[in-house]
Amino acid sequence: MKKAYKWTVAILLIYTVVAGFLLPVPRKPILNETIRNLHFHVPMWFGMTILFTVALWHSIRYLRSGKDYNDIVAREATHSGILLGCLGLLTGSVWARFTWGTWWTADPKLNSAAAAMLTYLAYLLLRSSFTDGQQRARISAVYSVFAYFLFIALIFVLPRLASSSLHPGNGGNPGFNAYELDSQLRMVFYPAVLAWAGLGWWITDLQVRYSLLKSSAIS
Amino acid sequence: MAQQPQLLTPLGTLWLLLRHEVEQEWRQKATVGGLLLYAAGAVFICFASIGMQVGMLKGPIWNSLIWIILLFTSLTAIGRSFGNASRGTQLYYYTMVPASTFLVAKMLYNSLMTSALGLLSLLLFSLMIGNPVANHLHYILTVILGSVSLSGTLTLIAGIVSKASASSTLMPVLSFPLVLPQLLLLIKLSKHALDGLETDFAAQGLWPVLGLMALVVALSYSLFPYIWRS
Repeated sequence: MKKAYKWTVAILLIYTVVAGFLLPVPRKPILNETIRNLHFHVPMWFGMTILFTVALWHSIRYLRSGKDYNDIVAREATHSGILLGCLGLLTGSVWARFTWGTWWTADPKLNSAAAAMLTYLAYLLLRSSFTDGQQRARISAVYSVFAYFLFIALIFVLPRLASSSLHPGNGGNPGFNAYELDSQLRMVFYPAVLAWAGLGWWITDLQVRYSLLKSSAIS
Repeated sequence: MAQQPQLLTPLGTLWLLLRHEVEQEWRQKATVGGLLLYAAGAVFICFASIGMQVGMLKGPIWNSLIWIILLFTSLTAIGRSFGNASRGTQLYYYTMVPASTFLVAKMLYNSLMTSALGLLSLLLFSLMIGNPVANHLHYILTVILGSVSLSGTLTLIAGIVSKASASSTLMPVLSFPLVLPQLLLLIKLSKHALDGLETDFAAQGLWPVLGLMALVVALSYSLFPYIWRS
């Protein structure tokens, strides 16, 4: 069962990279070949959001049950969420360089993304500033739940309220929905979402099992 | 002080806690004075660093500057709101009042305090740097609304930070990204009051601000008991 999961994710990832770079894509002015970033930047952020949702779920479970397992999953899901978030920032930044002409700009969507990353980096700092394990787990779970809802407000609500934005899908720009009729993109995009989210969960799972082994070796 | 709060209604307990909080603050005049000076000092730093160009400071930059001052003042004021009670006193509260009542009392008190500090900063800012606001009533309402809504977020974060081993950077690091959505919406709302083109207060982005405030208060209300327990 576990093996099947890993093979699926590996194949999906290979497919995403190969097909994402090689299959024909719609020719659009300005975007040109950079439209291929749809298979990297966007699904990475989808994966990040999914992992943060997993962290939320396990934080709530921890507050209800107090089981160490939930705390470990919440922590590791946040770690891999941050990893995907950083990759998403990097790919987005490279894309912006070739379409907008700059690595970074003060756009509502970009500001929100940066603040979202800061929110979860602050989670890491919070975790490291406790000496007592139980206290750390409980207070971090509280922060994680609180932060998740403001993260959603930052990422999904604020950019839509902003009057103008350069980012595709905001401020009247066409998002990938506008090109979706083009089934060429869709054929890679949906597997890519599964691939990147699956990779994130794979890393999380490994880290969780490693942490459990370590804690059982100590006790 | 608290005369058998367990016989009181929840609202009575709340009122008692709030009164106690104000009394306690009033006894330690140094902290209140400190906060007033903090606000005044922050405004003066802006005034002095802008220097000769003070007359040219108008519109959006004026607006952003005052919100940054309000944010820092609230951060400092609320950051210590769980720190001043000793361990024994905290245990006493814990046995006497429910966590949610305690949180609401803290939030109400912090809202009152930051509103007062916010209005004072606005006054000083207007005296020193000038006031380009077109619709004063809306602007003042926004400042009060902003103070209340920032208190909602910052009170819970202060509770979180009070449990961590003392780190002075933790409060701002946790707060900055979390208050950003509120701050941006508030800046937008107050910009409308600044321009004064729209006369309907509710039509200028009031609902997102209120919605976010309701979300934050509801989350704090349900999460605070878990902080309180330790």
